Parts: sequence; structure tokens; C-alpha cells
Amino acid sequence: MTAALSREIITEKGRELGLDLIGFASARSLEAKVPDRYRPSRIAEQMPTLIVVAKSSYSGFVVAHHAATKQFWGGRIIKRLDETCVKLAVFLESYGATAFPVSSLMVDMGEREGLDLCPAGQGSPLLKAAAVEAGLGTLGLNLMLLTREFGPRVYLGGVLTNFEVEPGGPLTKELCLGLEECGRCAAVCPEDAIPRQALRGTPLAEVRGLDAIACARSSQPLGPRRFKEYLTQIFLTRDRLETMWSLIGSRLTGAFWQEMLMVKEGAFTGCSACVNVCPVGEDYQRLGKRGESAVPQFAKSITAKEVKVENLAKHSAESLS
Amino acid sequence: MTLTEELFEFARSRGADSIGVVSAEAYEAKVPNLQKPSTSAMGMKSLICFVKHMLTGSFATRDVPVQSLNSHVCMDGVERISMELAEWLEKRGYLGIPVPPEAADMNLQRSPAGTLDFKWVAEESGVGTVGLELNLLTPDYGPRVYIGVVMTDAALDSTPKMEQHLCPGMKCGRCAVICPTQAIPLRAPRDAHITEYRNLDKRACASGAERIGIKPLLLNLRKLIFTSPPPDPQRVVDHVYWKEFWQSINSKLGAFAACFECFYVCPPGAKDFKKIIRIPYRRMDIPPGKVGRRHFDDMVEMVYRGVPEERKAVYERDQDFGEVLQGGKNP
Repeated sequence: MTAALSREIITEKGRELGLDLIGFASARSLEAKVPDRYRPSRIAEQMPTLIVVAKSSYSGFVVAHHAATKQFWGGRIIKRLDETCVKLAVFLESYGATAFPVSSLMVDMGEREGLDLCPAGQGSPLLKAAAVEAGLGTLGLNLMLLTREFGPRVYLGGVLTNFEVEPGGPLTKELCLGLEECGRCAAVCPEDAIPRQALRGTPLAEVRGLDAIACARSSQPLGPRRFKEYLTQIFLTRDRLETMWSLIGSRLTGAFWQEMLMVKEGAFTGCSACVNVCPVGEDYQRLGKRGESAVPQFAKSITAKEVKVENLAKHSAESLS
Repeated sequence: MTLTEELFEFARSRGADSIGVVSAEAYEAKVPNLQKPSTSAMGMKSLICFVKHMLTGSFATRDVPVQSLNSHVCMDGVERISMELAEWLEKRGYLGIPVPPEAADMNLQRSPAGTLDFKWVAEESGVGTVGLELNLLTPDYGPRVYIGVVMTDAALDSTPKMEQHLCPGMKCGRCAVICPTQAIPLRAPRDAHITEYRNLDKRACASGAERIGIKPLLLNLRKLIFTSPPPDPQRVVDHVYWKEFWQSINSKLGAFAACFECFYVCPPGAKDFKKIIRIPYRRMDIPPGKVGRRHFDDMVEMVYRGVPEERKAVYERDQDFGEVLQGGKNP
């Protein structure tokens, strides 16, 4: 049955399953483009194609200002995306191919302690690289994938398969307007984790970056690093039982419990300040004035060329909390 | 067909049992605390509320974890429908913001709370009425439902509140007399309306419904930390509690939705209650005519029965490490 399978059939099935974007990347070409720990061949050999897919977030979340609500549903979108990737893999296997999903959350929890999901839990470095290779979008100033359709307001999933497909090609033009033209993400980041300074005329590729440790303080407020800090604090009080109990009996313990039990995949989607203000994406243009309510300073202009790129975190924290 | 009618049809096709709408502005005006629409977003015009029922068959099992699993599957369904409704609205150019049905904002109020209290949204949108034990009761499935809410900037047609309360209050009181943690009011002024005395001791309820949740965890840790002499660490870590706790974190079993006593006995529910009380042991949870009452000049009081003897131990989580702490046998 494999002969009947094609890019078009896979794309059509993906859309039927509710995926918003579907692209194809060569696993071989990704080998040299991702850190060693994310090489596709470390996951499986004999799988020449990585189908990279995206599911958009809700435009309502650009307007919403309750961070925990956005965090919760961000996680649920990722969960649903994983389930959809399973269905897509099953579909491929029904054609005689072999396939399996590559979760958005499959990142290094050892040395990197989950930092590779910064910012906003959009997807692993492998899936972001695959999305760029497949032409779904380009990387923005904050290292998120920006897409024509939804800007950075997408989550990524993937399916590795032995079915060979002609891969897509990277877009030839950057979608991100960069620091000088826009810089809104850098201006609002509550952790000041996105570059705010560059020499005039420096290409985006040389400017974009992210202080992931800083980003994680907001985007993974109860993530693995914070959990390690919490346990360390407790162990250090082992000779002072009252102090130990004041830590264990605090609301923070309940917050960790809830994070692991219910928020789950949302552990990495705790902050979306940069996502909310990115003007790239047809969805953002459709929002018009409604989209500008997230940060009042940007209300006058969607492209915001006149915004002085200074950190607005204090204001942003107030308006987004 | 209006947008509201189309939305309702879609929601039903995706598994919602009943659905209603209340104006966000009208609801906001009634809420005395921060559990209101503007806490999440400005500019919302409508709150869409729906319920999805638990499988009636799950009440035939005596195995609480199996019932609990059914609850969580039902809640997954509520989340899925919430997301699909938001997507449906956004495809039509409106904003959709699903509201988390099971995660609390730890800092919203003095105690953790959801950004909306769904049962009140459901009552205001006519999906059901809130009963003696503060569960939402619905005409078809009584309290045996889970609730979802989606906010939108679409101006949908509001649905009317129910004129009659579904809960008979003190005239029934079955939930109160059986509640294993006595969290539901057992007495009320004579002739008072249900809206005047319905209530729930949430802390007490949580000790039954969240048996392997955060409160029992802290209770146990406190005992283990302060017991003198300290218990044998090996016996502590070998205790079955930690395996149950691991399971509760992994699959939510026992973490919450782990007590269904008030669900078993609540009579409203045109589509499910008769089926439930046909099950012999459910019928005998409270044998017919066995809710006793004492009448005083100005008060009615129901006689507490508690759960059947064989289920009592299930709710005694404060005894978890009893034998370890007393140097006795590790269960």
C-alpha cells in the first residue's frame, strides 16, 4: 500500500485531524543542524522523513490576561497535538509505512533541565529546526518559530517515518521584523531574556537569542529547575524541622502538586508575553485592535516601528498578571 | 438558525449533554469575589456553559478507583469540548477562551480557586441548579456531570435560569446523611429555602474526595516529620501510601474525584437515577424511608447515617501511617 501514500494524502489527513500546518523535513539533513542530543538518528535510524506539524493557539489568549489560564490550555493543546500525531502515525502505518510520534516535550531533562522548551513551550529544538527546514516558518528574535499564518502562536509536534517524501524548503525571507523594526517581544519580556541591543544593521541571524535560564523563571515557573531549587531548600533544613515544615507545608507544595497532576504539559507554557505581542501572522492582523489590548503601549500601531525597544517588563507584568 | 442555535447544535454533536449561555456582563455583576470573567479577559460578552455526564455504568462498580477513572475520562471530554467550542467560535471570527475546568489559581483568593465558579455559571445559564451540597444538579443526570465553560466576545442569546430548584433540600437530605466527612449541612431553619442553607465544608469534603491529594499528603508528612522518636525510614518508604500517591500523580486516581457518596444517592436525574438504584447495593446505601429527621420549633435536623460499614475505612486517611508511627506492623 505504501506506493499510494503521498505528501498530498498525508497533508489532507493531517488537516482532517485538525492540524493547522503540516510540513516535511529530511531527517538526514537535520542531523547537522541540531545539537547532538536532538539528532533524529539518536531517536531512530531508518526514518528518513520527519513530518512536522503545528496546532495554533487561540486568538482569545492574545486578549486574555490571566497567565495561568493560558498556561493550562497551552499544555492541553500540546497533549492534543501528541494524540493527533499518534493518529497520523497510525494512518501512515495503515499504508504499510512505519511511523511514530515525536513529542513536542521530548527534550533533555538532564543537563539542560527542560530549558530547551523555552520560550513558551512551543516545541523542542528538533521540531523547530524541522519546521524551518520544511518551510513552515522562520526563527524570530526570541528563537521561536514564526509562521505566516499564526506568527509564534503555534505548538509543534512531529512524526518520524520510513516513508520517503520530497522535503519542503526553508522560506527565503525572514518573517521576524527584527530588533530595529519591531522588538516588541524583547520589550515586554518580564525576564529581559530576549536581546534588546544590537549594532545597527546587524542581520537577524546574528542578533536572535534567548537567555533560557531567565526565560524559564516565567515560562516554567514550577518547572524542573524550580523543583530542584525547592527540594534543595528542603534538604538543607533537615536539622531544623520547624523550618523544613514551613517549606513543605507552604502553598508552593500545593502548587507543585497541581502542576504535576493537572497542568502537566503546561509546565512549560507559563509565560506567553512575547507570543501575545508578536505582530507576525495573519491571525494577529485579523485581531486588529483587539490584539493590542495585551500591551497598551502598542495600541497605536500593529507594526510598532516607533516603539522604543526598552524593557517594558514592569508594565507588562502588571498588564499580563 | 442563529449563531447560538448553531453553536448549541455543534456542542451537542461533540458530546455536550446540555448547554446554556449567560451574558458575561450580567454574570460579572452578580459575583462578589474575583471568580468572574474580567479576571481572565476584558471584552467578553458571553459565557457558554455545558455539562457532560459520567457513564451511568460506572456507578455500578464498587471499585472507587474505577469510578474515579471514569470521572477523569469524563473531564477529558469536557476539556476536549471546551477546546472545540473555542475553535468553532474562532473560525467564525470571534474570540474563544476556554476556562480551565480543573486547575486552580493558587493566588487568586485566600485559598486556591478557579477563575470562574462553574456551578454558579451553570445555574445562571439555566443548565441546572445548585443543590444542598453545592453540586450542580441537572434534570437528566442530577449531580453526575462535569461542567465546562468557554468565554467569547460573541454576543450570544442568553438562556433563562430554571424556575424551580431541582434539589428538595431538607425534604431529601440524602447527600448530607451519608457524607463520610459530614461536610454537608444536616440542619436548617424550618421552611427556609434551599438557597438560604445550601453549603459545603470544603476542607472536610476534600479529605474524602481528594483522599490521596495534597491535604492528606501534608497531613502525613507533618506526622512523619514531627513524630518522636522518628519512624524507621525504610518502613516509611515501603508503605503502600507512596505507591498510591505515585499512582495518583501519574493518573489522577484518588487525587480528586475519589468520593462519590453524594452522587450515588441524589434522586434528580431523569436519565440515570432509576438505573442506579436498581443496583441492589446502591439501593441499600440508604434503604427506602431511612432518612430520619428531628423537628424542633425553628429547626429541622437530619439524623446522620454515614456510609455503609464496609466503605468507612476508605475515608480514614489520617490513619495512613498509624502502624508505622506506633512501631506496629506496616500494612
